[in-house]
Amino acid sequence: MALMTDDKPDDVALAVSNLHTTIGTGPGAVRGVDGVSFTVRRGEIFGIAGESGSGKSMTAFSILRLLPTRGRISEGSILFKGEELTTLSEAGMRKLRGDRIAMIFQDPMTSLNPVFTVGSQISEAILQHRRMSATQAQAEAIRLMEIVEIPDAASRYSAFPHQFSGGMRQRIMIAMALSCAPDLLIADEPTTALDVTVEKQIIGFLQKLRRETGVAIMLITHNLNLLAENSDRIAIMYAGQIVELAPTSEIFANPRHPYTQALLNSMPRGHISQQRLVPLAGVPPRIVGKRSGCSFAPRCPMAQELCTTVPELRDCGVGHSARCWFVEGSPRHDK
Amino acid sequence: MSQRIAGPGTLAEQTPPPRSAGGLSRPAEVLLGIITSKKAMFGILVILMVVICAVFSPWIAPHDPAAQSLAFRLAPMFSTAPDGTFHLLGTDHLGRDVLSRAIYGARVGLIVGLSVALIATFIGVTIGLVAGYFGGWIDAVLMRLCDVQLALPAILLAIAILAITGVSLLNIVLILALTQWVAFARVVRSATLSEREKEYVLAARALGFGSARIIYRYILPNVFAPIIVIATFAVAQAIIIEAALSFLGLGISGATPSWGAMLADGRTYLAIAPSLATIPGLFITLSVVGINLFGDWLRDFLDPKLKM
Repeated sequence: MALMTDDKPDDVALAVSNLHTTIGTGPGAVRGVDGVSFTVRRGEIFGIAGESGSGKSMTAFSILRLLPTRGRISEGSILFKGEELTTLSEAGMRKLRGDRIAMIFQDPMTSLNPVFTVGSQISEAILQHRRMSATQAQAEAIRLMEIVEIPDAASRYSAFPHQFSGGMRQRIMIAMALSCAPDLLIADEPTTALDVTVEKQIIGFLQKLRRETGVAIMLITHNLNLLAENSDRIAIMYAGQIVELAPTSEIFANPRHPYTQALLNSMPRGHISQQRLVPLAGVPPRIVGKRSGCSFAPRCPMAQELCTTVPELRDCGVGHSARCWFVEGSPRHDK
Repeated sequence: MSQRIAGPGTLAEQTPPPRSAGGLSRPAEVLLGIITSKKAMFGILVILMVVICAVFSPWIAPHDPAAQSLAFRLAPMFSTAPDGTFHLLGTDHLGRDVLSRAIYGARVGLIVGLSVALIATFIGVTIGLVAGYFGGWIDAVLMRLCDVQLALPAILLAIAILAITGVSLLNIVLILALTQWVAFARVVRSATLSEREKEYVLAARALGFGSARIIYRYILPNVFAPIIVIATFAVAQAIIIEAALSFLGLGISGATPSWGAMLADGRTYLAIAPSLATIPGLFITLSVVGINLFGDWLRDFLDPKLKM
């Protein structure tokens, strides 16, 4: 891809190329992630958007290798700061998780252990990767709670998760994720379960974080409006593949893939008041076995004979590529 | 940025200090639950009585449980011996005081019940956690082991093993534990199966925690409620089986007073002195019912679905 060559190697936090993750084996195997390539740079917020089941979470879990029992990475490479993760041992991955790559989850109500105090859980996360005494860890946990703006942090240390609101719990999750100053933070729908005011706080917090620490953030969401203001580049995923990848402003100003266009037409955008919303009928397919043509073709208004052949990602602008036969002004293939 | 979080700030001011948060502390909550439930009150009173009998039997029992008085055998209830000693529940075929033996009998019942429950909990919970968490062939092997165990009738197995190893308190406890662990393993396994899919377990893995720590810190505490409940039922079950073994002549030797042995001895004299067999039977029934009622209440109490 054009963008990758522009990057200085130490500027790239994560480089995923041609990643394939399958669930199950044999002819019934589902292609959860099917040939996904992208890079995330230091200090960048990289958005991944798509409907449920499009493979965006599966991509995240592939990076951390936290796949379901029958899932495995079958092909491709994940370079994290120059280190190949697909061949790393399980023990090596465990050292990495929570230390250099951290993740926060969709539902803060259920992602904390209900039987221990929030403080002890942050301390435990710290002690997992750092050598210090329990007292030091406690002080560090309180410091982290202050960083994520938990009021009265010292006394809230011994509160239980059920005594916290959803937004506060998500901030505790972020505190745990920050405990070891990660290079990459994967946020899987971090605000989906929260109301909009809390969402603004959490996202504002992530923004501040990447400015101050230079952490690379992968922000996974189905909410394109959220990405519009809060990401640098966006990958649109559909049926396990990236169908369009572009800088955020490009995606919104000049969407090239019919799926991206359909997504944008189906959601309200604040600045256009008279816009009619166009629903997108159908659901994304689960890809089992070989692909027969463009996976979006069955729902695509532009589908033609040519679409029964699988399209490749094609460049259609600076750092902009789309997986469609009808991307105008892009005669050359990406690969 | 601080003015943006005014909401949580006010929340923090309203919430009492964390230690006493939630109104009542956990022990106080449990105590209140017991007092307000007839079931729990009855259960706990019976359990307390059994425990007091077992612990303080030398002080409570009116007579030496082994002292024989062949001249005053098979005396009915409320009888006074020629030497002036009063036997509230009469004497048995060797002239021993029935009440004293029943009080001392609580010791065997309690020791067997508690230690069996403890050992069975340990074995069953470990197997259940491992099977549920790792799944796959480990789960398959361990669960088939459970099936094998379930296929063998507990009493039959106990008789067979005791016939080989010989009777001792330790052997009985171990064998009964062997017959009781399956319930724990199966319940803990299924609870683990649902628990390991919870997001906080995934979050723990994303933090780099290993399997052992996740099982010990994240899964075990969250499947603890059903374990306590099954443990109470296991105590009752063990008391019954121990009594049954004694009744069948495979219990702890006759010198040590045990409810099952008293029942077995009394059976011979059912026609002349029916109280000999019925009194230990009553003791067994009462304590088992008490423990079961308490376990029943505990299950309801710990069931989060019944709260709020």
